[in-house]
Amino acid sequence: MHPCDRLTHKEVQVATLVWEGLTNREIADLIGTTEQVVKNYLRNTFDKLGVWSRLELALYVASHGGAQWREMFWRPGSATISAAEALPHPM
Amino acid sequence: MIRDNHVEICKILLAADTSSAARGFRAAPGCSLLDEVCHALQARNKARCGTVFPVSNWTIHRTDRPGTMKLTESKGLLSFELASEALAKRLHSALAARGKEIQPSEEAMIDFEAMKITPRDGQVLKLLVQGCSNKEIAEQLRISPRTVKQHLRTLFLRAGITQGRKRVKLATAIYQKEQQQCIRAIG
Repeated sequence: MHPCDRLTHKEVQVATLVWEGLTNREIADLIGTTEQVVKNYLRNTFDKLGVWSRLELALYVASHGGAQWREMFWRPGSATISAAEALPHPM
Repeated sequence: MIRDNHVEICKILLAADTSSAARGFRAAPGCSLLDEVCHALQARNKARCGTVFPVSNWTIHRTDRPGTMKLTESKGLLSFELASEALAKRLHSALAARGKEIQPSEEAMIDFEAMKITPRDGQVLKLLVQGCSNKEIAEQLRISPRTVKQHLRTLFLRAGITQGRKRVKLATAIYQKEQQQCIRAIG
């Protein structure tokens, strides 16, 4: 079982953005919600992963594959992805 | 980086029609990617879509066929498919070109060898990579949290990290570097 399987899709997405060093505000703008919603996602993520701060979360992501988390945006049932992944294969 | 591209592409793709896409481009000067996409759109005259929506309300889907993508509004009210291979191709090359400009991610750009890291800075960094808060670092090193902050501030400056959650960026960059060193040591 992958460590982020226990997270919802949105939580994975937010965790990845935290890992990239974004602020809550930036994350909210990016995924189209409010800062408070992002905070809620983070709170849940912290609880699920047993970390206490966003720095710990970032290091958790870094130590569990890091860049792979971005690809998990593409798990079945997930819709939102970053544009680069939506782009066609190099032609 | 991806995100900038993401937003820019969406802006263009979501512009109601080619003319407004063109207008949008003129409003944002000095943006070659937008130009590129505009040209592609105009060339294909393909943009079919209602109004300009906030970028975040849209999602991009990959379709089964390579070279196409699908944009859907979050509530599923509107969706349209970009079936144009030419457009996709141009988008891709524009992105690739632009990616080269923006790509060197901050993590990769930090040159730790050239960075001056004093022994004390090193101690702070070591604790930072363990996920310590400023307060925890301060307790460990028996200095005040404000001193820790000052150490970090100079480190951010030297590393050239100016935006976002800086401590996270610095910590992940160092983590990555340590990993690479480990891999090199083993390999």
